[in-house]
Amino acid sequence: MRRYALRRLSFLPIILLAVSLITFMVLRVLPSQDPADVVGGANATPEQKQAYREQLGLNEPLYRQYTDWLGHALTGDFGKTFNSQKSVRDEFVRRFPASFELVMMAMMFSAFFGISFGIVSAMYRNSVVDYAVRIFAVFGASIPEFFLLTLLIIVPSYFWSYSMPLGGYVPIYEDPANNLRLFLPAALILGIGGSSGLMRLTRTTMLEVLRSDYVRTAKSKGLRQRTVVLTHALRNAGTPIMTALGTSFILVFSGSVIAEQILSIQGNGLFFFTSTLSRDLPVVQFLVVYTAAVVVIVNLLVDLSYAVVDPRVKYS
Amino acid sequence: MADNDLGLRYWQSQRLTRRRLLGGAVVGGAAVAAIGLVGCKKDSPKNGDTTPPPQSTAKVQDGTQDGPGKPGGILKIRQPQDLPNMNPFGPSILALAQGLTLGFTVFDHMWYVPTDTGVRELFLATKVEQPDPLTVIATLGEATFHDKPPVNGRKVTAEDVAASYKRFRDELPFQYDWLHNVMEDIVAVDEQTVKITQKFPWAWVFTSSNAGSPWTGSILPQELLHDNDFLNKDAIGSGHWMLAGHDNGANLKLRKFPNFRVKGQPLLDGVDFKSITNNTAALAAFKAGEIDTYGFTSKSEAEDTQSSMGDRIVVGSDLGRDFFCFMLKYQDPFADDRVRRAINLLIDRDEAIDLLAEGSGVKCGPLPPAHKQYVLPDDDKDLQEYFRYDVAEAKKLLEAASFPFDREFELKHSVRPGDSQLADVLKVQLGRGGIKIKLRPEDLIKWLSQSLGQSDFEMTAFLHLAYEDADLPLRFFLSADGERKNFMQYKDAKVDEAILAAAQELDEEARVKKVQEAQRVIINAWAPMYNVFSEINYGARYAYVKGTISGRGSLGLFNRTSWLDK
Amino acid sequence: MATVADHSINVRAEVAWELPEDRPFHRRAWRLAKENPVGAVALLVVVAFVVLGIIGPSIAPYDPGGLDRNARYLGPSAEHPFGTNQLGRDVFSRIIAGTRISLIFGILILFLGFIPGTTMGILSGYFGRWVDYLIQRSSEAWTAFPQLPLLLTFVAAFGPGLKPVVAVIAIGALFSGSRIMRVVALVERHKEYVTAARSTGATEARILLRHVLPNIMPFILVGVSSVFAIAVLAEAALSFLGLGVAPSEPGWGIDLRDGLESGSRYPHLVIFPGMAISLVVLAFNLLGDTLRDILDPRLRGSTGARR
Repeated sequence: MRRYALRRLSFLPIILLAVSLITFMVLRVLPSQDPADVVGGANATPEQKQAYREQLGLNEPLYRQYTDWLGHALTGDFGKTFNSQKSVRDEFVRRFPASFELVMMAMMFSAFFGISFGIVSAMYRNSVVDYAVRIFAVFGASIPEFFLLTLLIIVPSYFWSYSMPLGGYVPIYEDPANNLRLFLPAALILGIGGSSGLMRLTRTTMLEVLRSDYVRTAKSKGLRQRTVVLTHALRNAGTPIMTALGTSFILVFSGSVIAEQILSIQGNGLFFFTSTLSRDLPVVQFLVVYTAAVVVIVNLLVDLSYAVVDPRVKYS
Repeated sequence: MADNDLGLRYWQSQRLTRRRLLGGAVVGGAAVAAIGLVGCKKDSPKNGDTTPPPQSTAKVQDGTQDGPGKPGGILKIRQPQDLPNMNPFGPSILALAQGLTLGFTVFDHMWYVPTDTGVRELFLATKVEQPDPLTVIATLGEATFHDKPPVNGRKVTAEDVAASYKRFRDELPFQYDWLHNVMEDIVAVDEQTVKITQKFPWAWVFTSSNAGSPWTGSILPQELLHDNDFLNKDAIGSGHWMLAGHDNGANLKLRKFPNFRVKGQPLLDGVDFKSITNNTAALAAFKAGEIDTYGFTSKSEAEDTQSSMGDRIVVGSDLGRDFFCFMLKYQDPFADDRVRRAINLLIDRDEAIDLLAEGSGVKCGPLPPAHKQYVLPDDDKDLQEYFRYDVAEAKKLLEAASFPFDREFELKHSVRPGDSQLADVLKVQLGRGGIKIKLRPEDLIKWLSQSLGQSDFEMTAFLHLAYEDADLPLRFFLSADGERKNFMQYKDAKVDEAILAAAQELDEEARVKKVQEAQRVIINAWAPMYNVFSEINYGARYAYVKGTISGRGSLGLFNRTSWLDK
Repeated sequence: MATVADHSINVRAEVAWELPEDRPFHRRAWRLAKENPVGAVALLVVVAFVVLGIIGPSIAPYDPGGLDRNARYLGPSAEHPFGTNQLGRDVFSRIIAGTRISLIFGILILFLGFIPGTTMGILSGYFGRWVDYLIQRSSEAWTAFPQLPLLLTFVAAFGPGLKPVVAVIAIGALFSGSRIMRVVALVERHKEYVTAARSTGATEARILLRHVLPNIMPFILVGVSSVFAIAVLAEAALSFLGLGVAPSEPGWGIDLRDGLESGSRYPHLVIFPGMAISLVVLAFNLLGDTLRDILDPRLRGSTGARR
């Protein structure tokens, strides 16, 4: 198993290299907007714009620009942002805790709701509970997250004159109350948004498993329902659930960009968004590679988890 | 210069005027009086009622009557954006935010022209002479820099002044501004004397946008001028505040400079900035007392807050220097006078004020009404004609000019909410005259640098940012300024002549007349930039914040006589 | 004499719906509707959506693009059932007019993404081998990446606007359509009627068009409703974020975004556009679920639909 994991991991640099190259090409070869325009504004002369391009290193031949970037990137230096000339890495690190907290909390909710509701729904099939859960799932998939997040701000303000602490991030260990006031509802909404697929899948797989001969045998042996479910059924359903968790994570990760925007959380999602609109290419370049790395690693973890969840799965 | 340059103002933020940057209008009696002078009474709506002027909602307190003031205390203000760094030189134009924040606070200046009085005040310079129209000789008073290494509190010399001006000129290559186009040279004649020579006589040499700019008139110690490592992180000047610390460009802290050239000032011990990007959060922080001032986003927000907080706060208003405008490219069919005149007749400025500013705005002629000394008086015939709204007559003019009613024109605008709504309103208003318009929203950068910057539009509408003096709004009508043509690609010799005549009239009173004359010429030529209105901005401060002088934007805030009565 | 045509008629019996052939269509439809009330309602909503999308702007009671300075920020009332916004525009009229842009976006994604994707998937599943492999790998690579960052990258390269947005969503629909159809086509490939048709000498093309296609049509319909759900949601989300899908047209996403500014004082500006989006997306999702349930009870989802 370890060798399998290592082998998969060894693909990571190659993938990241490919992603970085493609992104670089896309961003630099197809400029809809010359970054020099950003810096220069409406009044710059062509000579001034040339000077800015010089300053931002945009006049070098493309391959040289890429190899420069790559060389620095390998040492951990991802360049400076166009807008504020600060280190991209430092800006990223600064914003990381907020994004991390949001995504992790949302994932916890997602997993919790998705899996537990799915199990309950399967176990009490066709009961009121089942219908309630299924309705919840379909609503969760249909009602847009940005709508709910907007309501999150507006409703308390309108009815109770309560304003969410938008825009200010305090780490959870410094001021848990203020931190959670914002992150908890946000993570809840994000989590539910990412969970309906998981709910549906868990339910379906559990249903199949519960009907299987294997489980019926176990039940006939007199094992309690709950034990049966948790040990036998789950193990069999585990694999697709893990996959769905991976998908859930991707959804939550995407959704966090919107959430950060609406709630003014200074995380990397918002950073990505604002850098895109201001054509801050070094930032976009780095964040794309980062996102790709996250996806690959998550996929790897999901695959590895199969071995944990289902002992029949072995990697050689 | 930063103030004037549309590009960087837009680029940096949505509303990056110094007032907003530094936390909102802090108001007192003078501001309200200022509005009165401008004659901001709105025209009556159609039903004949006269709505009272906006100051009726404000509780007014005249700052100068607050007493001598007691020293001490820290004022807490909102910082809407992180500063990228502390370096006023850059990189290049991106230094706007720092320039505006640190100018007149950490850095001192030679002089300043408050935008409400228009009368030059001498700061570091104690005597200014103009032996001939091309020369300015300034004598410096006694002042020292902040007592921080490596400068360690040494005296400010003329060499520092000259070197600073030159560095700004070299580092910030703007298109049209005094430093580049007018100033020939600046030298230190001796330790206390600075001599400036100009290429031609220039009336606006002391105004805020030129040598008196909050940004490019800043005086720095000469040994630091090229030390970017230092400048990026810290700032040393001779202003009344010292930069005591910041958190990567956020949460700036300023502390009183004990050896400031004016003894006994500032009264406060310091200013703490709280970084709050989001407006809702900022209002909540103000209500909770975490910040002492706040700039409202709308009149109703001001009224709501006033009623919920009552006597604890003082709400006031002042007329903004920014204005909504509408530009046509000077080409067919807009090259025809009648067409241009008709389009102006179709703009219902009152309706725009109601829809876009909740009725809280003032109609704007070629010069925004906030420039009180220079703007045309309300009863001026030309101005009234400019403001006239008459759909029937507009239609007649268009027909007489064989206007192509079947053609659809593109109105480009940026996606900022203010610009989008303005475009929306204009589309409907011009539609009443039969003009078909298609809206073309563009993202801000593209709009600014391509559509506007390269005159790639048929029509465009936007919020024109605030300029602190009367020269710049008029310059947009000049056919060519330095190398650059105006955005509308408009050319009219009479307009050019009138504007330049005003710019070179050194006598104050005569200049006022010439600026007014220039506005009349612009109106009668129906120059293709139509200004719609300026918004009235509301702000609040807690009642214990006293001694502020209003109407000076942020400078009022950093007025060295502010104090806390608690 | 037995002809290919005769064979076709017999082959029809294998249609997945497996409903009795002798009942007239409208009776069958009515029975389906009665037994699946949720799906029926969803269908009604979808139909209403499409109809409004086509004729909506003309029947709106007020001009969705007009101005009325005396009617600003009114709450819901008899004259303005959904209230008015900052420019005095009737929100109800705007919601009706907003269906158009959502519908257009859905159609664009359908024809630029899903339908080509379906074709691709069918070909890939039916013919297999390297075509299949290539399409599968690209599909995996694309869909593994979170959509929003992907979109942002496109926007960074091309600038905001309709094109990059449609491109990204359409490509997503392309791959998802191909994935679904590939499986289906794979299954169909091995069915008896295909072998039978082949043995009578029909060309591959004919088999695909005349036999396989009708059998997988239901799956395609399910996919269409999913695509519309995603498209409406995406259009609203991207307009909301300001990535400019069509900002000068009335749209729900834009209305929601404008409403956010003054929403604390006038929640109706947020609630009604949001509910419109939710309702339509819900309807498409439920319709898709119902169709899926009718097809295959094992995949029964949220509606408990009966065949």
